[in-house]
Amino acid sequence: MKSHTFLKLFKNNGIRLLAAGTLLVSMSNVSPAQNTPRVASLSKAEASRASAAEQNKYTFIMFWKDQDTTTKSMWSTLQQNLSDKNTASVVAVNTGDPQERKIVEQYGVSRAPMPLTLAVAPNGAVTGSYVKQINADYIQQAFVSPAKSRCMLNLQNRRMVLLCVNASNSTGIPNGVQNFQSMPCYKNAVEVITVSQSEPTERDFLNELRVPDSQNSSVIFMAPPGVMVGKFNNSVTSQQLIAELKKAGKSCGVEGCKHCK
Amino acid sequence: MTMGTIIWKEMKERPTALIASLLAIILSVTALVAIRNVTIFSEQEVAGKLDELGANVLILPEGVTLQDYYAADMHKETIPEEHVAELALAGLTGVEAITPKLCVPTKLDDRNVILTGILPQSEIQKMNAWSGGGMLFKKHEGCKAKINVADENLDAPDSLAERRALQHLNQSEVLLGSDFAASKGLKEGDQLQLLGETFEVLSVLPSTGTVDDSRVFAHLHTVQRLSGTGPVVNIIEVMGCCEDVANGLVGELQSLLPGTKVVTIANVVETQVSINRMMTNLSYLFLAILVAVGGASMASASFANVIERRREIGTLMALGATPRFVTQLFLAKAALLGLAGGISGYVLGSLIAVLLGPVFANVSVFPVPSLAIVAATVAVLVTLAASYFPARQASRLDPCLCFKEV
Repeated sequence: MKSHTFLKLFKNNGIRLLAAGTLLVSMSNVSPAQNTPRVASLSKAEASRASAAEQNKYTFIMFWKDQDTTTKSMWSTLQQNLSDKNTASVVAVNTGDPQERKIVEQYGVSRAPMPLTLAVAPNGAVTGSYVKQINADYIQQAFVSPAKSRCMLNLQNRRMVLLCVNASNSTGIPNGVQNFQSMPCYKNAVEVITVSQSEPTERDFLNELRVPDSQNSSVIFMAPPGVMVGKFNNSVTSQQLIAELKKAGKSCGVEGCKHCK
Repeated sequence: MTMGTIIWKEMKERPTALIASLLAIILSVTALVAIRNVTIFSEQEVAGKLDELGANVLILPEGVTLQDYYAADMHKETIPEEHVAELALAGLTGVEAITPKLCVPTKLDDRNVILTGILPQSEIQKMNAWSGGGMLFKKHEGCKAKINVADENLDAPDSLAERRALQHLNQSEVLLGSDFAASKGLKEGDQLQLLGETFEVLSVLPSTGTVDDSRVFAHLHTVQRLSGTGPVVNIIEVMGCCEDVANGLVGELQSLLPGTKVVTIANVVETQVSINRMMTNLSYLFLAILVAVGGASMASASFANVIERRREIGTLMALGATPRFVTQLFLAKAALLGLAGGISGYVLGSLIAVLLGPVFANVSVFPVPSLAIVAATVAVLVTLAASYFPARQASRLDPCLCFKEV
C-alpha cells in the first residue's frame, strides 16, 4: 500500500522529485563554492551552473513551465544520458519560480516554447539548445572542444573570431591577424584564438571547419551569429581580412560592411 | 508641282478633315503613352521598394488579412509570442531580424495614440546565436547568413526607423514617432505617462512617411503587462534575405509555425506588380480600341477624300500622273498625319502622365524617350494601313470617267 502511494506521489510529482534530487546532488558538489558570499547569493540553478563551471563540467539547464508529458520525457532523457557522466550536471528550472527569475532573464527564455534545454559549456557558451525534444545524439553533440566553445562564446557575444590553427612546428599569431586586431575599429570586435593542429581534443572541430591537414598554419575567420567569413594561410594580410569581411557584410541591397565605412 | 506641294495644298484647303483625322490619332497615342508611362514608373517604384525592404516576411494570425495589416496593423487577433523564440531557436538561414509587434490604442492628454510593443533584437539574437554554431561550416555566399557584429551605429535607437528593428530598449523607455513627438513637443530625455506608467523618451525617430510617425514604441513585455493581453503579439515581421525567401524560407516558416499565415512582402508587391501588368494590358486594349477607332476614322476620311477629289485625281492622271504616284500621294499624306499625330500624342501623353502620375499612382513620372519611337511607329503604321485601300481606289480611277462626271 505504502509503495503504491509512493508510486502515485512519484507519478504526480516526478519532475519536482527529480529536480529536488538533482539539486541535492549538485548542492553537495557546490559546497566549496558556497563558502564565498558571491555564490551564496546565487539561485539554485545559478549555483549549480557555477559549481559545474568550476569543475570544468557542462550544465544542462532544462527550463519548464508545466509538468506535461513532453517535460517529463525530456527530463527523463537528460537523466538517462547524463546522470552517470562526470562531465555534466543537470538542473531543472521552473520559469515561474521567482527565485530563478535572474537565470530565466539572463537567457531570455521566459516566452520561449517549453520545455527548453540549454547545454552550457564551462566557459558560459551555449553549445546546444533543444526545444520540446532531446535525444542521446543531441546531448552528445553539445559537448564541444575548448577552442570551439571559446569561438561560440565570442560569436554569441557578437564578436568576430580569428582562429589561428598552428602547424606542429610553428607557434604564434600571423602578422596579418595581429595588424587586423590592432586596428581601432576592430580591436574590440574581434577575438584571436590559437589552437595547435596536432591537438587531439580539437581534431573534430578542425575537421568540421575543414582545416587542411598540412604543414602550414591557417587562419579561420568567423563572424557572428555563426558565419564562416573565410579561410586563409598564415601569410594572410589585414587587407585581405577586411576585404572578406566587407563581402560578408553585403546583404539585401546593403552595400559594404557595417564596420569601418 | 512636287508631291510635297500637292499634299501641303490639300491639307491647307481642307483643314477640318485634317484636324478630325489628326485628333483621332493624337487621342489614341496620348492614351497609350500616358498609361504606359505611368505603368513603367509604377513598376520601377515597386521594384525599388522591394529592394529597400529586403523581401520582408510577415507572420500573421490565420484570420487576419493583409488589408487588416495595412490598416495600420491594428487587428484584434493575436499569436503567441512563443513563436518568436521558436523562430530564433530554429536558426533558419536567411532570417536577419525578427520583430514582433503588439499594437494597443491608448490616449495621451486626450489625444489618441497607438502604443506599439516591440522586442529589442538583443533579446532575440541571444537565442539565434545559440544555433549559430551550426552555421559555422557554411561558407558565406551572397546574402546568406548575414554577419551581426556589435556595432554602435547600427545599434542606435534611430535604426528602428531605417531597419525596422531595434537593438536595445529598456522596459521603462519609449521611442516616439516624429509626428507624435512634434505634436506633443516631446524630445529625447523627456518623460511621459502612458497607461498609468511613466516612461522616458529614449529617442525621437526620424520621419518615415508611414503610420509609424504617429506612434509610440515601447518594450513588448511592458505593453503586454500594461494592456493585460498576456504573452501575445499581433504580427511578427521577419527581415529575410531576398535570395533565401525565394529559396524556400517561407515554406520553412510555414511548417515551423502552423496556425499562422506567412506572407512575404514579395507577395504583396507581386499583387502590385499584377496590377501594373493589368494596367499594361489595359493600355494595349485601349490602344487596340483607339487604334481601331482612329484607323476607321482615318480610313473613312481618306475614302471621303478620294470621292471628293475624283476630279482632281482624274486631272492629275490625265496630266500624266501614274497610279503609283497617286497611291504614293495618299500614303505619304497618311504617313505625315500619322507622324504628326504620333509625336503630338507622345508629347500630350507624357505631359498628362507627368502631371497626373503622382496624383493617381503616387509615383513620380518622367517622359520616356523610347515611347516616342513606339508612338510614332504605331501611328504611322495605323494611318498607312487605314489609307491603303482608299489610296489604291484612287489609283484605279479612270480619268475619262472622272471628266465624264464633270
